[in-house]
Amino acid sequence: MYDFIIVGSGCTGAMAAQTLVESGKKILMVDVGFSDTQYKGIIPDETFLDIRKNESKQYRYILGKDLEGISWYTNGKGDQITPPRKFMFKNAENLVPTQSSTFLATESLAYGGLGNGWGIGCWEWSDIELTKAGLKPKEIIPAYQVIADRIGISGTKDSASEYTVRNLHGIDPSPHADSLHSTIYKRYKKREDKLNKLGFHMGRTPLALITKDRGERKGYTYDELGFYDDSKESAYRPWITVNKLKEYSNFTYIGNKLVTEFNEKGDVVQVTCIDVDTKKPEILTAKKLVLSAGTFGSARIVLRSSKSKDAKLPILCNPYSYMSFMNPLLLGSGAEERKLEFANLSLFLDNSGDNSEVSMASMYGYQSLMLFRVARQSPLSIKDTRSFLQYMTPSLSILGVHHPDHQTKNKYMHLVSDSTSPTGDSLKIHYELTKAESEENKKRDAKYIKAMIQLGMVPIKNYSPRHGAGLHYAGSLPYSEMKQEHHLDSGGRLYGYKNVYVSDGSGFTFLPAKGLTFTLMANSHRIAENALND
Amino acid sequence: MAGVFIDKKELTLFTKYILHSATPTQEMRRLYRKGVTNEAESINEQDLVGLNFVIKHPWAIKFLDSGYAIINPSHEIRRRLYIVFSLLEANTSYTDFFLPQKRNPLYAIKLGFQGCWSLLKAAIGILIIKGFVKNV
Repeated sequence: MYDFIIVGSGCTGAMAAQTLVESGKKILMVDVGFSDTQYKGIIPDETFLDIRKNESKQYRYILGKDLEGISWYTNGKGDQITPPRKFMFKNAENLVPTQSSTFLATESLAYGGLGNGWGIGCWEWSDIELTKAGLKPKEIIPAYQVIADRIGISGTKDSASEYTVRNLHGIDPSPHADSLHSTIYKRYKKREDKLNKLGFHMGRTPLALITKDRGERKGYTYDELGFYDDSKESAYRPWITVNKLKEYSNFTYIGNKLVTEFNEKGDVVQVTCIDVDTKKPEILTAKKLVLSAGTFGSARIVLRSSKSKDAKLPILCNPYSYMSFMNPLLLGSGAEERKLEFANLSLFLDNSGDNSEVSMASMYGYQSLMLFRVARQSPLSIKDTRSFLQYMTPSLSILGVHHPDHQTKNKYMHLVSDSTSPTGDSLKIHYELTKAESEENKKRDAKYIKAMIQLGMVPIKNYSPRHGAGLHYAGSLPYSEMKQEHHLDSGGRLYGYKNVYVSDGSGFTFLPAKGLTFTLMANSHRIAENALND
Repeated sequence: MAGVFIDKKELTLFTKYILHSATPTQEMRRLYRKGVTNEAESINEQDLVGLNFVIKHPWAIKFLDSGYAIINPSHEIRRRLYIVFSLLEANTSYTDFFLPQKRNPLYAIKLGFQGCWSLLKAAIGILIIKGFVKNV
């Protein structure tokens, strides 16, 4: 019998699995695990700019073999994802359906999960943020270092380190920032005191991106293909870990299985799954179960397995918007070789000054994504947009702004009957910000615009996608000291069960704006260690 | 939506409109047809009126493109232009028209005039749409 079954191969599943496999336990990872069958291996080993200039068949992976990358009538789901990454969402709407008029839930059943499209930002949460999220700083801080050592992180100790890499050591140096963001940063440093007094702190974004070779993984080469291709493995993706674990004799991976529920019988956990193709059910057994199926995935499995199947569970999701700005001094400055496509800088807004309710903007240049993506939103004619964008692109900084999120009664989900679903149910989600939350976020957005103007940037457009489009989800099975159904104890164990743990973000009781993936992975490692010791 | 209306002249019209020097190739024709057909079920039948108008009156394309950008950015004409735009952008023959190019600071003045002309085109386009297209 297996010692552990782990459900899911995303960031949290991969980290829990590595911890458990390295302990010598016998591990089974159960996953749906869709892979890229169309684009693997077809993207040439050249830079993005060289591909644009030389590759006659580039449309295959830039627009998509079926032109799936140029969808016009889109519901917003996965708009930012390029064709080679779209396998992440394959069949999710059919196998794990959701219903909502207020929330765009995006799930992945892919091998590596949503980690395939992760923006790779790795910020350490502050002690206050960790505590508010239901985590213990003294447990998570060492776990951050474990994860950093495993996946490889590059970052800079600068004046914003309290918001980025405050405790990490032994990390690679950051890749160099592009000219636009170097200019912005220099301007920030000249005005640092003034901006700090307004609550703003700017630093280099710590990234799960190695800048030095590490075994078979190549240090980042500035090929600008980070949104299209991971063949050099410079950016960390969870499948890199799962692939390595397959070399261990005590690790088994089975794909094409959708876990639907579990049942604890004495000292054994029975896990029911259905084959994705045949829909035939199968029961797998282990001594312990670790759910790493993501906030929505784990919620479904727990609800189906519990007494109160129709219970409402809370959700957390960072409110998110895009803001575009232009630096007039860089208009018409031409294409830049060796430009970093991932977030160059992070700009934090800490109104209270204690790192407890921080908003965060990740700042990106715009060269390795195509102009047509912007053309569709332009207020100009499609034709005129081309010449304007061609001139403006080197000067464009796109900010992805996240705000923290708290539990309220207007953010919840529950299972409803759905005869069209292979599991007979779908997840109905309602998400609404309170008036106070909306107003606070608008004020913060306005402050960001003013700060960017002080940094010499001209605002162009704000765009707020539907709630949920930012892909940051947590909080469905909150940590609690009270033994309540659908809650987790501080060790990640599900109340009411001896041997069932949830290692994804379901337990968080607050969601800071700093990207959650690094903390998810650290926490998953911690929970795996607890499960070993229990 | 029964079938997809693609006039045999429209791809050349749209291509020359976006980039005067461009000529659609066989492969571009194939991909254009695929792109238009891909989301055919979502096409608003009313939009075909505007599309027909532009095929019959090619001089109007610049005005309708600008006008619909303001009053109906999701219009089918703009969707088809967007498909052509993306196909040209992913074509090595026209990369230089899309990748950032070094420009002399006086280029900003040229863009300023272009911006004013864009506004005028939008205004004329809206008049044409309201006055003629809707009555066709």
